[in-house]
Amino acid sequence: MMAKSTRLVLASLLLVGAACARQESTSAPAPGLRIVVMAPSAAEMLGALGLSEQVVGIGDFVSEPRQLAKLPRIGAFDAPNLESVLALHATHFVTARQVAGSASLAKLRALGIQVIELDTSTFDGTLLAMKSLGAELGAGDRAAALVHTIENQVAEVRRRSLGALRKRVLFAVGREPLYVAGPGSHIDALIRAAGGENIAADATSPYPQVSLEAMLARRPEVILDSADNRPGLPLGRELGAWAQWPFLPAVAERRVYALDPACISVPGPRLGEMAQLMAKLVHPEIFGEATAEELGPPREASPVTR
Amino acid sequence: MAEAGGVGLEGRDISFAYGGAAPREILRGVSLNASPGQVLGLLGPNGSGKSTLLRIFAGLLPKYRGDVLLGGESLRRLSRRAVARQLAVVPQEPVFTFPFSVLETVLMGRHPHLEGLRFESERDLDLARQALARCGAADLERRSILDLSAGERQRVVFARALAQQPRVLLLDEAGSFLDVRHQVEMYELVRELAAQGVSILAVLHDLNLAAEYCDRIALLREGQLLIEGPTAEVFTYQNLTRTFDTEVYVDQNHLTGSLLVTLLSGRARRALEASAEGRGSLK
Amino acid sequence: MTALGALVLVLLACLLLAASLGAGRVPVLDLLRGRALDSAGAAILWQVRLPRVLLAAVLGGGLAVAGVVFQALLRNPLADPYVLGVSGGASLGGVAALLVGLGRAPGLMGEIGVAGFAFLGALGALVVIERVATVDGHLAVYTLLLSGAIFNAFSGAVIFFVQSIASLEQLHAMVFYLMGQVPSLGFAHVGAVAAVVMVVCAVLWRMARDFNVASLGEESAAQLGVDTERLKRKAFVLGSLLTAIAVSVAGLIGFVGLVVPHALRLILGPDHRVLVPVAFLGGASFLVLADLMARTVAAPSELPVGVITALIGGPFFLYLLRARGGAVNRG
Repeated sequence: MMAKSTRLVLASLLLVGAACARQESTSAPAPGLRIVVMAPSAAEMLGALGLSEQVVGIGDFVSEPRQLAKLPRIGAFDAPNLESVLALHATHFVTARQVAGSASLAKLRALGIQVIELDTSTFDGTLLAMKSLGAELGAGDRAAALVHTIENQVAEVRRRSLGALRKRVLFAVGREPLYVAGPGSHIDALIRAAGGENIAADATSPYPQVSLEAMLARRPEVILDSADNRPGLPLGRELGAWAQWPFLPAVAERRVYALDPACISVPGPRLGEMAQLMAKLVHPEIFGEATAEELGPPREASPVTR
Repeated sequence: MAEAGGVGLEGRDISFAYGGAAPREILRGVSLNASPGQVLGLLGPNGSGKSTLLRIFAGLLPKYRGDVLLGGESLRRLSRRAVARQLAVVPQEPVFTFPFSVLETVLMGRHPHLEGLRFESERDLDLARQALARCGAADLERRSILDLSAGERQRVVFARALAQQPRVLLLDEAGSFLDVRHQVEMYELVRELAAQGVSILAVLHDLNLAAEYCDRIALLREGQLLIEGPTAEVFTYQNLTRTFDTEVYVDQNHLTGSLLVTLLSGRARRALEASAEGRGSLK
Repeated sequence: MTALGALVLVLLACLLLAASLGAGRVPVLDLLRGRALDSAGAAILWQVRLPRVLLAAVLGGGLAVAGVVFQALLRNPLADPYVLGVSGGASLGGVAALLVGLGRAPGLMGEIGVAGFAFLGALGALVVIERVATVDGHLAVYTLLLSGAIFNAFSGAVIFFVQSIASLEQLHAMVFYLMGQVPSLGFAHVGAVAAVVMVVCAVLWRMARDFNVASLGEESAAQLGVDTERLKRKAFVLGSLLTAIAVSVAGLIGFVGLVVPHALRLILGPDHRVLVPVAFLGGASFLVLADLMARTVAAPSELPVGVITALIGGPFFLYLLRARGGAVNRG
């Protein structure tokens, strides 16, 4: 049971990212494209590449772009329903690169469906994946432009924060136990670009469970918390449960932000905007304060459902 | 022979049936009395209800009709501890789970006499060692009970029953795994206990052991008591043949004068019938 | 009894060691020199580390005693606290609470949510299994074992089902809930858990001599003055209670309830008057050390403590079996 569960989590963490293309080719959007997309990051990329119209089916966890939400759902990320994929007459199957479900992918390939696996586990990988996804689907120019824009946005952030002192940043993705963004994650890259220093940079994996006491001892100056998304809890500059550690500089200076995971956790075409948001959170004195809207959609006090 | 102050075990009109949709009657109206100072042998064919009766006497089967009196008090009104302080059972096939030493196992016989979490006293240890010695198992003291042979285990379990200092002792084919020497030694010990005023009820298969060591015999067949009385009166050709549904030859041991029962195989019976017509004992 | 004293010292040493070491460096030795810690150090030591160390001790002790009790109850030295289905009920309760979002609901339900629901699940399992295994007024040990195993398999299947319909973040929470983790609770919570666990263990200790006799089989035990029905029921309910507390607070931490009683039985003998308290101390020391490793070996990352107990416990157990001539099989 443990092994299976661990695998699921690994797969889910990989899924949060997605992209590393296999072939290079640039041509016009092919007619008759029918795409099934499993990973949220890949779905966002397709939207940004103007290919939403060509998507005919989505994975269970895809929520953006909104217009895709009504499409048929064909299963969890590692367990696509092959019959549904065939019934949709799919030509392309886009998913995050992962260990799980590889048998299904092989089967799809054998059935003549183009399977595109994206490695979005890192910042650079995501940009690369976006380019190759565009090339594969005949939107190579648009993808190149998109990546260029993102790179410019990030470079701008990096340039403006260059002279500022590095701030010690903790980015929590889960609490009790404490999970943070660690080395290799796109969030880690965003923190560095924004002039911060990820205090979990020496942990063992991109989303490690870390020792609370170690994080406390490292005295973060900025705490970004996307873990506590209970309905009704306000977003923005909120100390939340961190108030119990008043000795932390972040708490003393009220630099603790509650943010919705949706605004930063999915690597993809929004990476440039994410870099700008991160910059406002880490160095508001340079980039200005982030508004509540930027930290996520307002939360209603209703029970959490899928 | 009965000593004053001994504790007797008396079954009155005991009936027992296993429950369920079709209740099966195991015992019907059995009355039986084990008196202080005597060895009462309980014999009968397989399925006659001997073991069930023994378990009822030991208080292990609660749902019977009739009454069992231990020292004049109804078993139903006595707690398990109160029973265990007076009555011990030597089971046919003892069960062991953990590697307790032989001495620890025998000390468990002191359980009903101890309070709470207490460890055993010097006196308890003495009693346990004496019991082991009387059963010829003193040399096993430090061995793990799990390492013993079946016969050694039976001796240890007998020692445990002795350490319990019972006034009533129930034996359930207790000697079945013992070799001849140890079997004899055990029944000698049983006689010794009887001489000290213990009431003894023994389920037995070996008719000659029964004839040699029992003061009285009860014969059980199909849940009913056929006859109960002094061994010499009960052990007749007719009684035994009726009880066991097989031909036996009852004779006298020339050395001791006690009864000697010979089981007759088909061959032996044919030979006897042919050559010794009218010897008397057979007919 | 010297063993008991020795293990008290071992536990004290483990507690001191575990309180001194951690991923966040706190100069604990300064305390001995009469120097006060700074506010961060004090918070880390008193609010984060110490409650966790103490909770690990209490849960480890409880699990080991539950193991001893179930081994005695089932007359099987290979039984562990999770064989009788209570862990399945607890896991199911916890996972269900995570699915409906109770673990995150605001207010009281959120505070007691997951652990509370896990505990309710465990009690539910306990009642069901006890009913099933009670035949004609007797608790039938084989039926108990069987129904426990089947209940565990059943709840495993339900958990898989729940996981298959859960959202990604719920799934994440469920997996880490089940993986086994000693949380850092407040002192009030730790105190409450400790009080219940220690009272239950004390009651079980008082029954120790009965457990000894019970190893002779039900009839022999009854004949030696043990009220076997009462003993079985108490052992099942109290052992399950210890297990339920441990699983609902800390998830499935394996091997403590199997290896510790077994190792101590091999070394000190099977007498439950010694084994029950010694297993408590041994289990406490073992889990405190395992949790210390979970906290520190990959710092600042943490490992699931269940992984550590299995990695240490498994090989150690095999070593014991070889070294001591396979005493398990001699029953």
